[in-house]
Amino acid sequence: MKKRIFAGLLAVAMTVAMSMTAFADEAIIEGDPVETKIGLITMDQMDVHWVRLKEAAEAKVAAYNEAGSKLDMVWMAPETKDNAQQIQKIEAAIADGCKYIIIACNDATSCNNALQEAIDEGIKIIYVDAPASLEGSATYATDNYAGGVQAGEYLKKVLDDAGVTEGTIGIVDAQAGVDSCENRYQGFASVFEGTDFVLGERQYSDGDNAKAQELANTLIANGVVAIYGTNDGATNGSAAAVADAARDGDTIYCVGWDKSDSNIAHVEGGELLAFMAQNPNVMGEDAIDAVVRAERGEDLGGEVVDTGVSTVDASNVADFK
Amino acid sequence: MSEYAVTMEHITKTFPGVKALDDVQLHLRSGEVMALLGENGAGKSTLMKILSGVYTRDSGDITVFGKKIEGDLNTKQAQDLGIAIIHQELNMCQHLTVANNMFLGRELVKNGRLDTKEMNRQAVEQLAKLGIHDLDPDAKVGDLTVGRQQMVEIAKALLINAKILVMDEPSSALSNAEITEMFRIVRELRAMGTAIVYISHRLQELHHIVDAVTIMRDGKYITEGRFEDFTMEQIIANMVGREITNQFPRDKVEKGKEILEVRHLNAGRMVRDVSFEVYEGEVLGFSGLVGAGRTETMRAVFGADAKDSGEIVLDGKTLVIKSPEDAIRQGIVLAPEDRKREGLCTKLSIRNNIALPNLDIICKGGFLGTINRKVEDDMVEKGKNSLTIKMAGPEIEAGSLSGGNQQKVVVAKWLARQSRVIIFDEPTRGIDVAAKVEIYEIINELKKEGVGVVIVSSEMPEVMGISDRILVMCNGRVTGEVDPRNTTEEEIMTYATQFGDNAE
Amino acid sequence: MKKNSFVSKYASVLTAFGGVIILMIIFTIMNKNFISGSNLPKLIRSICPYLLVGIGQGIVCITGNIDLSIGSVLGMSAMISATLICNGVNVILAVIIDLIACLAVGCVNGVLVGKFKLPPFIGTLGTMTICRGLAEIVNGNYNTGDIGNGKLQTGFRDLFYYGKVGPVYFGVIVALIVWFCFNYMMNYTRTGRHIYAIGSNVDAARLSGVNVFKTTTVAYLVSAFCSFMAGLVTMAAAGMGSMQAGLSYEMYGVAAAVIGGISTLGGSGYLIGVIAGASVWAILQNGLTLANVPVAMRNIIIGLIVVACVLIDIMRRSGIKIGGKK
Repeated sequence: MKKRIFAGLLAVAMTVAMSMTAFADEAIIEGDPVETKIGLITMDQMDVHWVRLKEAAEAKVAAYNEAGSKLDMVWMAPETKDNAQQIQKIEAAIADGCKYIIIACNDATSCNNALQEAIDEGIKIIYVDAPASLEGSATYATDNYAGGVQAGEYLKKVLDDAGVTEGTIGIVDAQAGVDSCENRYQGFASVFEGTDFVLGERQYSDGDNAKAQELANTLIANGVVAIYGTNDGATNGSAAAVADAARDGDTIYCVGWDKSDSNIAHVEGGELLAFMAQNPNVMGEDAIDAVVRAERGEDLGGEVVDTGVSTVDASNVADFK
Repeated sequence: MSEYAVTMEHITKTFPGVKALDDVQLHLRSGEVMALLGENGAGKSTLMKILSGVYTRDSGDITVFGKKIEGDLNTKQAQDLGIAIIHQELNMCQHLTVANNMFLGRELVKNGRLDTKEMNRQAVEQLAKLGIHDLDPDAKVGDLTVGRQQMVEIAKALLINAKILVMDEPSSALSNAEITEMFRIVRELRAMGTAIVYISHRLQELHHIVDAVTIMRDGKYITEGRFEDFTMEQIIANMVGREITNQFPRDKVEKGKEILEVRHLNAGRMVRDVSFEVYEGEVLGFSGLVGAGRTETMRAVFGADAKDSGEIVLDGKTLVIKSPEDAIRQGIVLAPEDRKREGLCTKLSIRNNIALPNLDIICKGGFLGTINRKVEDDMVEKGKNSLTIKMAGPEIEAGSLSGGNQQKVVVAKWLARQSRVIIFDEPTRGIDVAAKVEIYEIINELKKEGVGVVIVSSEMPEVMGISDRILVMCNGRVTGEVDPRNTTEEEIMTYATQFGDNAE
Repeated sequence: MKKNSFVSKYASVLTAFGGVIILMIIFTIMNKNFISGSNLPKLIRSICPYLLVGIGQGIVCITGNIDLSIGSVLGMSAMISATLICNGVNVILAVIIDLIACLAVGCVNGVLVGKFKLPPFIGTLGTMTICRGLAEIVNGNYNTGDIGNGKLQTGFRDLFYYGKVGPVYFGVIVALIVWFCFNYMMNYTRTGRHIYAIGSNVDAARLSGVNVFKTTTVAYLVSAFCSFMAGLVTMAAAGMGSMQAGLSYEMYGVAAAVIGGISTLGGSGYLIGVIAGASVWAILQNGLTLANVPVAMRNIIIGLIVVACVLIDIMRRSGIKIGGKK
C-alpha cells in the first residue's frame, strides 16, 4: 500500500517536473552524469534576448540534473550594458568557484584581461552571442554580419518592388561600440554599397525604445525613405515612429532586429516590414551541452557555431508567436 | 492704576544640563514700554519664547489680561491672545512680497483664489497707520533695507491685533534715522495701549522710549521698577553683578610713528578721494551716517572690493592689494560688520576659525604641507587666554558662542599673525555691555602694543569714548576730523551731513 | 515704473524664452526641415515629457528640496499601467491603480523629507532606487508586451501621444492642461504661497503658522503626479511598458526648471519658465540631430548651452544686487 502511494507520488512529481521543462529542448546528450559550477554572464538583465537565453540554459540544466547530473548555474548580469560592471561579474564568477563561464561580451577586447585571469585559473570560457577576441573553448552566436546582410537584402528587395531607387536610409543603432550591432550594421551597409542609397549617420538610442522613437521621428522629419534598427529597442521605437508617420500619410520602410512581443505586434500592424529573429535559446542550450561535453572529457576545440537568424515578416509571423 | 497685560510668576525652565530660568517674574502693563535687560545668556530670549509659546515652561504661572493660562501655551494660542514677537534675526521670506509676508499663514481667499488685491490694500492701510506711506506692498522683502523690513514685521504683528509686542534687539541693524522712525512707531503703539517689551543692549538710547525696566542675570530675576528711578550705573551693576566704573575705557598712550597711510583712495561712488593716516598708539575712529562710505572704504583698503585708484602705504612701503589675501599677508586685517556671515564660519569649530587665515603659519611644507596640530593648539590656547574667550572647548561650533565671544574669536584669528593694522567695523554690534567693555580693553591692549587700530562705529558714545581721533565721512568723502575729548555729538553730526557737491 | 518691474520680475523667464527663439532661428538656418510641417508638430509633442517632469521638479525645487525619484516613478508608472493592461485589466482601472501607486511614492517622499527631515537628496535617492526595482519586477523582469488595439487602448494612445486636432497633438493639450492647473495652484492659492514661503525661509514660514510637513508633501505629490503623467505619455508612445523608461528624467526635470529660471535654492522662479526650459531641451535634441551634428558632439553642446543659460541668469541676478543696497 505504501509503496503504491509512493510510486504514485513519484509519478506525479515526475510529470510536474517534466511539464515544467516542457518548453525546453530536453534532448540532453546521453552519457555519464557530471557535476560542476557555471557562471552565466549576459550583457544586461533587462533585454528579453538575454532573459530567453538564460531561461533556455536553465531548462537545459534542469534536464541534465533530472538525469542525474549536478549542474549549478548562476546568472550574473550587470544592471545595464557596462564594460566595467561586466568585468566585475567575471571576477565575481572566479571568486565564486565557477569552473565554466558562459559569457556574451559587450565588446571584443575590454574583458580580455579578466577572462585571461579566469583561463589561468583553469576556468573554461564559452562565448554566446558575442565573443571576445581572446580565444575561448567554444562560441555559439549569431553571425551578425550575415544577419545584417540578410536584413539589407530584404529591405532592398522591398524598395526595388516599390520603385524606390534612391534616398537616405536612417540607422537607429543601440549603443556605440557593441560588436554585435557593429556587425549588423556593416553587413547591412555592404548591401547598399554602390547604389544610389545613402546611409545616414548612425543614431544611438542605447536600446531605449523611447529614445529610438524620438530619433526616428527626427530622421523621418529630415526625409529618410527607410529605417534600419539594430536591436530590439531600436527597432521597436523606430517602428512606432513609422506608424506615426503613416497616419500623416508618409510611407517609410522599416526593418530591424530581435524577436519581442512588441516587434511581433508591429509586424502585424504593418509598420515593421521584418525583423531578424535570433535564437538565443539555441545559444543557451548549446552552451550547456558544451559544458557537459567538456566535463565528459571532450575537447571543444574552439568550435564556432552559427545559431542562425530567421527573417520574420508578415508571411510567417504567426509561427513565431 | 492700569491693570497688568501680562504677569509671569515663578517661571522655571531647564534645558538638558542648563537651568535657563530660575524663578523669574515679569509684570507688564498695557500702554507701557518695558525694557528687559541682561547680559547675553541671562535668559531674556528664553523668557520671551515661553511667553510667545515657542517653548513651554516647566513650572510657574502666566496670566494674560487677567486670564490665567492653564497648561501649556502654544504659538497659535499665544497669537490668538494677541502676543507677537519681532525676532532679532528677521524672520521674513526674502523672496515674497511685503503683503505676502504680512499675511503668511493667514492668506485671504476669495472664490477659490488668493485675494491679492485685498491683502495689498490691508497691508497699505496697516503701514499707513504706522505712518509709512511709501512702501509698495508688491515689493519683494529682500529688496528692502533692514529698517523697512522691520517696519513690515511690526505692521504684520499689528495686523494680527497684537496687544502685547516683544521686540528683540530691534535697533541693532538700523541706521540712526531708521531708529528715530522706529521710536516714533513705538510711542504710537504705546499710545494705542499696546504693551511692549523692548530688549536691547544699546542702553544709551533707552531713555527715549522706556517706561519700566526688568533686569535679569544668569537666569534669575534681579529687579524691576520705573526706568527713571535707576541710574545707568545702577542698571549696569544689576545686569553684570559688579560695578563697571568706566563703560568706555580709553588708555592714554604715547602717539608714535605713522604706520599706515592711505592716499587718495577711490572706489566707486562710495569712496571718493579718501586719505588718512594711522599712527602707533592711537585708535582712529570713523563716524558718519549709514551710506557714508565707511564700510566701503575699509573694504577697499582690505582688498575685499576693487579700488579704482589710490595708494596704501604701510610702514613706508607702498603695498599692492588686490584681494584680502594680499592684505592679510602684508599685515592689514579686517573684522567685518556682519560678524556671523563675513567674520566667522559659524558651522566650523572655533579651532578651525582661528586657524583658517593662519594656515601658512600652521602648516609646514608649503602649499601641500600638513597641519601641525601642536602649533594650531598653541595658537588657539593663546587666543583663548589673552582674550578670555568663554568656550566649552575649541571643537564646538563657533556659531554657538555668544556675540561677544564670537567677536573675540574673530580678533583671535588676526592676533595670531602679528598684524600691523586691525580694522574693526562695528566692533560691538549685538554684544552686551560687559562684553563690550572686554572688547574695548582688548582694543586698548592692541593700542599699547603698537598695533594700528581703526574702528568704524555708528554708536556715537562708543566712537567718542574709545577713539583718540575721529574722522567723519559723508557721501564717500572725509568731511571732518575731530578730537573726541573736545567735541560734541552735534559737531560730528554737522560733518556727517555735509553732503556738499552733488556733482558726480 | 510698472513696466520696468514686469521685466525685472520675469527677467529669468524672458531670458529663457529668448533662448528658445534664438535656438529655433539657428536650427532653421542649419536645416530648413526644422520648421517643416512634418517636424514642428512632432517637436512640440516631444516637449511634453520634459515639461511634465519639469513642472514636478520645479515645484519641489521652489520648496528648496529636490526629487531624484522622478525618473523611476515615471518608469514605474509606465510599467504598472502596461502590465495591468496586458493582463486584461480595463485601461481606465489600470490608470487609476497606477495613479494610486505613484501618489503613494509622493507621500513617502513627503514623510521622509518633511517629517523625518532626511536631506531630500538622500530620501529621494532611496525612493528612486526602490521604484526602479519595482518597475523591474512588476512584470517579472521583462518589458511588457504590446498593450493591444482594443477601443480603450487605442483611445489611450491617441489621447496621450498619437491623436491630433489639426496640427496640434492631444498630448500637448494634456500637458498644457496639467501646467495650467499647477500654475493656478502656485499663483492663486494658499498652498502655492506656502510653497514659495518654505523655500524662501522655512523658519519664518513655520513661525507664521505654515504647516511645513503638509506643504512639503504637497510638492512631492505634485511631482509624483507629473511623473505618473509622463509615464503614461511614454507608455502610450511605445504601446508597451519598458523597464528602462524614465532613466535620467529627474535630471531633465532639473534642467527644464533651472533653464526656466527656477532656483534650486528655493523660493523663487515661475512655472511658466519651465515651458521655456523644457522647450530648450527638446529643441536641442531635435535640432542637433537634424543639423547632422556628429553624435559625439551633441552631448557636449547640450551641456555647454545649459551651463551658459544658467551662467547668464546668475550674472544677471548678481548684477542687479550690486546696484541695490548700501
